[in-house]
Amino acid sequence: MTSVPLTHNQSLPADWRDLFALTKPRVMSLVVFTGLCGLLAAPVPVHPVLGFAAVLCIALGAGAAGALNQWYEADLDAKMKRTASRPLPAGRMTRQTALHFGVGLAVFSVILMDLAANHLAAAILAVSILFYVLIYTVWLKRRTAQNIVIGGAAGAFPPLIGWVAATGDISALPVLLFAIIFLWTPPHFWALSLFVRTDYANAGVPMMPVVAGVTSTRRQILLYTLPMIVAAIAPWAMGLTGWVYGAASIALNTIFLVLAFSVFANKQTEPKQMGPEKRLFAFSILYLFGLFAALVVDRWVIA
Amino acid sequence: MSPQPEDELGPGPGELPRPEDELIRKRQRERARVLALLLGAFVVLMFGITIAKMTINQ
Repeated sequence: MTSVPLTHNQSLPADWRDLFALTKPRVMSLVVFTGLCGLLAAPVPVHPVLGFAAVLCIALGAGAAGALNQWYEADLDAKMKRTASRPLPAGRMTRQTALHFGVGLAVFSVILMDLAANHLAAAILAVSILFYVLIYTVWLKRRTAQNIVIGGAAGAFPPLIGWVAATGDISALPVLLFAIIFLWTPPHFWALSLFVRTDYANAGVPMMPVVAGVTSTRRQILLYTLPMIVAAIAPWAMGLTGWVYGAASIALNTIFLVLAFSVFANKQTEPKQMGPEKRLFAFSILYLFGLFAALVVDRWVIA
Repeated sequence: MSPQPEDELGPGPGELPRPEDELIRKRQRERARVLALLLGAFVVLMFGITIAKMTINQ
């Protein structure tokens, strides 16, 4: 479809499929999965309907944050190939529609979480939406190369919310789950930003490869991988999980470390020659799915 | 009171609707259907949450 920058036929209502696309469904799948795993890893039984409602609220909250992110970043999205076909930059929707949809969805998800689970889970959900929209999107993303490091906290909330929805309190394991995703975000996102850095540079987004260069970003990917590995192995080392999680964690972290080292060793600067970066990015998604799946298997199957 | 612009009046008696009008109606119908489904699902979910909370409290 031809891109029409930020113009829209005011008389034409937005297609519901575009409203759905505004919620970033692909990103939402990982958020829902980690939230569900946080809920299932909790040491208390959860009523299936309430558990479903809690995970639905996490999904709706993530969708609201995604919609508000696209509302605010419509100008940036229009400048990047990867995002130019989204509903707002492609001119298929007004910004006001996206804003109303995002705010409505956010309020609805928090109220429903409060009704279905508890006040603490609803409060953390509200904080995670506000953190993603205000701290990451509005404040950090256009100002500092550390945007992903601090903003990564927003994506780390779902397992914590899932756990709190089930138990009503916070303990060591959900904090470690938060830390794993928080420390996983920089290597994951910087691997992507290395091979799409031209897009970010054209849009004026100060991502790490644009500001600090390719070599420095590769070194930082490796450096952030080390504390991530410590956080990922800690639940088993501290006796909070069983051997299934321990074995899966050691295997997945070993592969992650090898791939991060191959990124560090790569000297190519052309995106087409960034095979190690693309492999690390693809594996990092599998890594998170595998680690959290192992946590649930450990809790439900082995226990 | 000033008269409405001609293109806001819509098709007159016996006139065919413009293709754009048809697209607007189609979008409105689709959104109404999706909204109806979501509202129905919401009612079922609220019913389920209420029953679940009552079960837990007993």
